[in-house]
Amino acid sequence: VKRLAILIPAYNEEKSLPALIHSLKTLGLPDSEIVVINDGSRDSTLEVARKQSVTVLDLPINLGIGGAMQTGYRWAEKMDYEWAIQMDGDGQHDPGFIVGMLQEAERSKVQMLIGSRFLPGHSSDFRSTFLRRVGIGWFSFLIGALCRKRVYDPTSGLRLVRRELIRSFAHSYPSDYPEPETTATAIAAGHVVREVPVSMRARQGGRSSIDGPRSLYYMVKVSVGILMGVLLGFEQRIRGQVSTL
Amino acid sequence: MNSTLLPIQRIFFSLMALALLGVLLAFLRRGRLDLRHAIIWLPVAGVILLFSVFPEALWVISGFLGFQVASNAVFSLALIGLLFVVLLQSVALGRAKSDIRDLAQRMALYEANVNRPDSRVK
Repeated sequence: VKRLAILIPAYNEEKSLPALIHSLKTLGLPDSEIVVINDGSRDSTLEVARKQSVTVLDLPINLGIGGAMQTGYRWAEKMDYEWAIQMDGDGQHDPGFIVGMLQEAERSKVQMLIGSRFLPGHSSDFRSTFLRRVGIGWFSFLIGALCRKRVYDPTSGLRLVRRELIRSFAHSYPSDYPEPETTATAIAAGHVVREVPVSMRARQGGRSSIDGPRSLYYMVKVSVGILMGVLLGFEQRIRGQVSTL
Repeated sequence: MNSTLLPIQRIFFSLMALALLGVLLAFLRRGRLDLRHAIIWLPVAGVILLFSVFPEALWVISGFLGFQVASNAVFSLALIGLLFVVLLQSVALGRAKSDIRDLAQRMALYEANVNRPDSRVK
């Protein structure tokens, strides 16, 4: 059984990709595969990735982060990986956390391990705007209220998931801002979700997709998404129970 | 209160309905419109034509439905009908989007599988 797929969705990341892949390779993780998903980039992301002797999934059109991420999960499912870790292609996530996360996940038998910036008791040097923290706090509260499980950083894009969730994500994954929604689904479906403290760097290039007037759309979309995610999770849990009878 | 249409109005609306029918048929013939969607629009054009020629039928029907003014019946029913059509369009658009997403993903997976060198981390 193969162990770990490292899923990196990349949209116009020609600048940050080589350094990221280089540092992933120096980790020397045995039995793992680096998978770059080129999400219809308009720069030379595809060529840059192809030079790196990693697996490249080249989407012919831009699907957005959810569609790209799901492509990675479909690959991981097809290749029968036990674990998949998703990380951003923009260099925000430090590959140095992967080894520790994998050890922790295997030790504590979780289905999802989130690299969290906001765990209480762990100082994080991550800088974020006040409004963004309020937004993340609201999602955290919403998931907590609906699932009775507190997740401090539900928007984190650095997540390690096990086979059960690889299969679930390969089958259905939201198209945009997928993290809080899928976290809610996983918890509601009865999977074990935990967080470990990580620090994240400031983005190396590019801008956040959530700015100005979009932030209102973002708040509403993700809030509704969490509700739908919880419903989907409960449905999965009921189906799972029925099928085990 | 005007309780019927002037002859000029009848002619105008009839011509509009005929023009709509003509456009629909032209689209259908050139393959620009699916027959599935045309099936919604053809009756619409037919009903407009019918009421343009016999507006009295509209007065009778709207009176029967409890509207005091026929135009209110027209606006209300048209609004409900259009909302319904837009909802159907949203559903169709959503389905088309998820089909495209699935196709694009399959293509990427297929291509990576075909061109697969040994791309594992050492």
